[in-house]
Amino acid sequence: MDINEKLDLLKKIQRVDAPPFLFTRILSRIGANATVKVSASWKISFVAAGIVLLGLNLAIILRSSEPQTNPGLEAVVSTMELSTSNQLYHE
Amino acid sequence: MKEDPPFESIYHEYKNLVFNVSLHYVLNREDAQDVAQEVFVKVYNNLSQFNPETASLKTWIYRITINQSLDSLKSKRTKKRFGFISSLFHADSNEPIAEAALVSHPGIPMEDKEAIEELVKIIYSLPENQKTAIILSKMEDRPQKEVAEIMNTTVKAVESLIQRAKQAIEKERKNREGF
Repeated sequence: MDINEKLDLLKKIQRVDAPPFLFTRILSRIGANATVKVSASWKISFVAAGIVLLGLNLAIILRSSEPQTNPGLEAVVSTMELSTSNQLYHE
Repeated sequence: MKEDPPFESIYHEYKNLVFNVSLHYVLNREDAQDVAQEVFVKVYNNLSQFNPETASLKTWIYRITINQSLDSLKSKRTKKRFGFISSLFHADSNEPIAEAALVSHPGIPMEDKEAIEELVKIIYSLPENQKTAIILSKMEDRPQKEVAEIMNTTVKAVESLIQRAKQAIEKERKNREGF
């Protein structure tokens, strides 16, 4: 049989109807996707909250790294001869 | 979930087209259902981006169906490749390994079943472009101009693809017959 005749056999393939439940399946799939989707406003809120948290953390870290000196407290300590070391007994 | 009446009418107009084109690629009802489902989800999600000036709705749906069918075949092939390796570790697994040569196309008539099944098996193994050209022109019986539009190419290129596909089919047939 010639190739063209052979390929003409393909035209005998009958059309098949789509299954009746397909549309329900598609709708439930679309519905599932819609519930998973996060709206843009929520995404922006999450990003803003993240930036605020990061900023607060950075501010705290920078503050704690600065040397803490309190002249008033040092004056009281020297007047009362308080020890600032962990030694219990002075020699 | 948003209500979209045009989507429902699109579905009813193109459901059989999408299902049959998918069936010609994947060759079984179950996979064709999965492909058709994915196609309509994509149509629903991208309907707002569809531009009628660049292509007709029918052409657009044909393209989505073809791409989805080819993706399905690719993932089947990958599954098959890794199926052997995973079967070494999960010997008790009952998951079926994708079977390229398994044909259960419900549209194939009984009287020419053997000859058509042999032919579709050969078409299944053709390169993607040749396969699409043959499916659209011979199985879907679309004119070459429309095939060219769907494939986003020229009529000459489609003619060439069909010619090369015919040669490949002929060669494969002779191999199978033992010439």
